[in-house]
Formats: sequence, structure tokens, C-alpha cells
Amino acid sequence: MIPRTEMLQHYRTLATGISPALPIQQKAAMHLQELNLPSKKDEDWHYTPLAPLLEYRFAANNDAFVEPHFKDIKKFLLGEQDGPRIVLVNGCFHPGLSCISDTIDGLSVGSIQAEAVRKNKDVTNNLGALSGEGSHLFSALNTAVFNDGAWIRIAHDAVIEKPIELLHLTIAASGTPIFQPRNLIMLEEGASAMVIESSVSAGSNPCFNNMISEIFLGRNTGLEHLRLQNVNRVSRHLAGLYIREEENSHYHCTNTDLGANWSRTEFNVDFAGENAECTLNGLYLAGDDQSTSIHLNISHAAPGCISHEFFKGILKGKGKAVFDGNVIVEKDAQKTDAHLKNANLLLSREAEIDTKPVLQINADDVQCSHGTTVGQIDPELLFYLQARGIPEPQARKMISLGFAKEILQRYPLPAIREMIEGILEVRLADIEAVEG
Amino acid sequence: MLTVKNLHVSVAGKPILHGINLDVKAGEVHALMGPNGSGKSTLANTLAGHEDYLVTDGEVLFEGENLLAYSPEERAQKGIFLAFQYPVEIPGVNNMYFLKMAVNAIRKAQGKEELDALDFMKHIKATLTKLDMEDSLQKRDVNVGFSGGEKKRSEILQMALLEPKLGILDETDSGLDIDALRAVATGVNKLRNAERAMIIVTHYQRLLDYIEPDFVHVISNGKIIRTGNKTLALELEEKGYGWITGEEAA
Repeated sequence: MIPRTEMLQHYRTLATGISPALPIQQKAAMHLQELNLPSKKDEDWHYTPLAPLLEYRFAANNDAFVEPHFKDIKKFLLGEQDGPRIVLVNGCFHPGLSCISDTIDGLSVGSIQAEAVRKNKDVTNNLGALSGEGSHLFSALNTAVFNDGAWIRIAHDAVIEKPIELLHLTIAASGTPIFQPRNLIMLEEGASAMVIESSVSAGSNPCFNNMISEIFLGRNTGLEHLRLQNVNRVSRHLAGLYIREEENSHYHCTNTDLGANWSRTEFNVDFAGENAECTLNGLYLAGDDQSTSIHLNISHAAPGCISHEFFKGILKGKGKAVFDGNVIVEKDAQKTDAHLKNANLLLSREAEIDTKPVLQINADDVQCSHGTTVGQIDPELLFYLQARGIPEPQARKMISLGFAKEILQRYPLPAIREMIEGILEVRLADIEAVEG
Repeated sequence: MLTVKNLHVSVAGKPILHGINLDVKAGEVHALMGPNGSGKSTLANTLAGHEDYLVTDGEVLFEGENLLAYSPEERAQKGIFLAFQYPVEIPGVNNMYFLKMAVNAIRKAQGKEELDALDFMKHIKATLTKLDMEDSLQKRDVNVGFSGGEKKRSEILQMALLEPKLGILDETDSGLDIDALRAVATGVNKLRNAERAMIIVTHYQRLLDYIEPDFVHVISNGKIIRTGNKTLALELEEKGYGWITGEEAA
């Protein structure tokens, strides 16, 4: 394990000697020099395992990699073949694999770096507006020195029928690289769209994906955000999402984390206008040598907003998960409707879950609830299936998949649901009886 | 087919069955009656292999083999079917998928070819027609949101699909209105044949108005205390269990 002081120095060095384009990047680079590595003492990192971050010196990597072709990425694609598509390879916009023709009315997409160079006001004015300079070392690092990423804008009242696909592909040809994509999604008033975002690996080297997405939802907008993380099982994966919802906007996200040795997904939702709504559904699976953390910061600052968060987790082997869900209802946010739920299925005695749903209510006329469950496979369900001739391991798998289905069926697109089911089938094929 | 000898069973350390003897031959229908807590359901669950039911003495032979040596799934594969008193809800597991898995698990264990989706559909359709049932439950999750009657009908459909040698119906009549009861009984009667035996566990006589048993056993305090034909059930209905058990009727 690399000593913390050395590791901190290493990450600080990654952001020195560069001259980033945007003022926010310069600020973040300065801020970074004052930040420490996350530690157990930081409340929102308390349960996240930190040792996996001290194993490798993940470094910026400019090594050449084998240029991927369409046939290499086809198996990862979930949208329509000729639909709008942005492919980021090792954090960088890949023009050859992306499909961004301007034929769809109201949709603009492109490379965020290219847009920054062009002084696109979306980027110069809004990048970092939600994330700030970075609340922790890694978000500051991304803000200071992100590689590239997707810029997506949906124009006023535009309804984009075809799903917009955003694929993060990492190909670590050598070493232990860090990749830092940065995405900006903006929906103008009255716009609606669906974004399918997946993170996958083509190589087997350990990478550190340190990504941030900022999502601006104008008045009366609707965004369906379908996410899947299935990177290789030696990589680290940190995704920070920052969402700001204006009046009467709708954000529906269904998120699944299956891959990575260590993953952490942070949802920061800020209700900036009345009667906005946010639904976060999540599924996570962690097996041997895996830890996954979900962090929610839902801030009800405006009255009459609705937020429903429902996350389910399956832990097998020595898998570990953290669910840290925080919903804050501010004093003026009357008529808030907030429900936070987390359910976990432990398939082994060595699996571990730390779950901490927190509701902080400062208004008096609200409807709020939170609940969490941790359980094993119900022996009565198992017996029922066995009594029908189904062998125990298969019965356990059926019940576990059934547990996941409640989240999976919330994906409004069969392709992604089926892909995840297929992965789960394989990942759960080896579950054994709980010993003792 | 089934021979139960001096069976003693404990649940959570508490002895429930105190020496059950029962002999069931192919084609026979046995009714097992008794007051609440007498051990009827314990016997049913023990035969199906529920792990909470610990056999402390005695033996159970099924077609000459020691049944107690087998896991619940192996018992099912050998032809034992338990229709549950309280069928459990299994969220996220589609009923049709479950039925196909069950049918094929049993076919595979019996050395038969597994059914593909199309053949399985035909099998279901033919079975539903035979049982005079509607095809309304297959798209839902196993037992999830089923009414009491739907759950019991679904158990009978499962029995028909799995074609067991021995069907054990654990209080299948409990909680059913008269129409559901009749539907269930019709299904059971259609499944009676010369090779298949059935044990019908029931508290009340009324199910036996529709399913005529060859034998009626009265179980009390963990023992079979009386065996007779169907008239025994009628007598019980009239006089109450206190008549035989020597206790006052509830």
C-alpha cells in the first residue's frame, strides 16, 4: 500500500504545471493543493473503503492504444444503431465511433473540450456551476484536469425521441491510468430526452475512472437517464452526478453498478424550482474483491417537490456495499414529498453492507419516509421452489434475480434491462448455500 | 407407494408427531383430518422435506426408498408434490418462467427431454383446458397479489403440470369460498388416476363433499387415532373432533 502522504502528493502533482482553459479549472487546481485525501474522518467517506485507492499510482496516460472499431463497441451499445451516440474512449471524445450528425432537430452534441476551445457559452458559463471547484480531492482533480467528455444540449421545447447514447469505454493498454471524463447535459425549457450512459472496459488493466456529469434541467423539462457501470473488476470507478432541477422539471434515473473493484456513485440533486420531481432507482451487486458505494444528497430547497429514491443491493462472497442516502428538506420547502428506500440481500456471511438513510426535515408540512432492510434469502421461498423440483443453487439464483427485477423493470428500455439481466445471470451462477 | 412407520417429528425442539403409521397405495385418496395443532400439516411438510421438521424416530419409504435421505428437490423429482397451505409470494419471478423451470427440472431429473418454450406453452394450454381453468395468472409473478382462491388454483395447476405420483394437499380448502372450493376440487378429481395417490389434509369435511376419499384418518395429538372410510368424515362433521379425541369440541 502506498502511504497516504505520498498518494496525496501524487494526485496534487497531476494538477500542477498545466494551464487549463477555464477559470473554474484554475480555481479547482488551486483548491486541490489544499484538499486532503478522503479519510474516515470525512462524514460522507466514513464507510467507503479507502485502501483500494492506495494500491496504485493512477497516472495520466498518453500511451497509444489499439484503435477500436465499431465492431469492437457494438456489443456494448444499447441505443439505436443510427441514433445519436457519443463514444468516449479513455475519457476522450472519439469522432469516428460517435454519431452526432445534426439531423435531429433541437439536439446538439459534441466534445466538451472542443466546445470549450470554441468558447461555447454553455461550457464557459456552466461547467463547474453545479459541482463547484470540487467538494473532495477527486472532484477537484476532475474539474482541474478532465480529459474531455460529452456536451449535450436539447433546445427549447424539443422532444428527442431517439435515445442519446453515451458510452464510456476504457482501454488500458499498459500501466494504471486515470481517465477523467466530464459531461454537461443541458435541457432548455420544455425539452425532453432519454440518455443511456454506460461505462465499460475493453482491457484488463486497472484504471481509475474519475468522472463528473453536470445536468441542468430547465423549466418543464423531462430527462430519462439510464445508467450502467460494468467496468472490469480491477478498476476504480468514481462517478459524481450533479443535477439541478428548475420548476416543474422531471429527472428519472435508473442506475446499476455491477463492475469495478471499487466504485462510488454520488448523486447530488438540487431542487431550484417548485413542483419538480426526481426519481432515482438503483441496483448494485458486489462480489469478492468488490466494494460499491452509493451516496445521495437530495436537497429540497423549493416547495412542492417530489423525490423518490429506491436502491437495492445484492452482496455475495466478500462483497461490500455502502448506501449513504441523505435527503434534506429546507425550511421553506413545504409540501415536499420525499421517500428514501434501501433494501439489501446478503448471499453470504462474509458480505457486508453499511446502510445509512438520513432524512433531515426543517419544514413542517411534508410527507417523508425512509426505510432500509437487510436480509438473506427467505428459506420459505427457497423451500417452495425446491418443493417444485428446482435445485437449491438455481432456486437461490431465481430469488436473487427476482429481487433485482423490481429495479430492473424501472428501466424504460428493454435493451438495457436485458443486458443487465444477462450479466446478473452469469454473476449469480456461482452462488452457494449460506454456510451454517 | 408410501409407507410411514412410527414417525416422530419435532419442530424447534418441540415433539409434534408421536408415531405416525400410514400406508398409501397407488390410486388411493387418503383424507387426513384433525383439529388445529394435531400435526396434520407437520406430516405434510415432513414428507416434502422442510428443514424445520426434524425426524427423531421412525422411517418413510417412498416406492421402497428411504425418502428422508433426499433433499426437497429430489423428493419432488421422484414424484412427491406438496400443495402448500400458504403458497409464498416470490417477487420478481415470473410465474410462467417458474413453471417452466419446475417442469424442466423434474423432466431432466427423470431423464426426459426438457421442453422448449413452444412445447411448454402447449403443455400449459392443454393442462389448463383439462382443469377447466383460465390462463390469467401466468404473466404475473409467482403468487404475488394472487387472491386466496387464485393461489390454491395455481397450486393445483402446478400439480397437474408436474404430474406427481403422490400429491399432498395441505389444507387446500382453507380460506376458499364455495366457488373456488368447487374449482379446486374439480381440478383434483381430474388428476385422480390409478397410478397417482393423494393425501388430502383438511380440517373440515366440506372438501370431501367434492373429493371422495378411499380412507379417512383422524389425527390427534400427533397420532392417527382412527381410520375409516368416508362416513367417518361425515360423523366428524356432525359430532366434532371431541367425539373421538375425548376433548370438548372447540
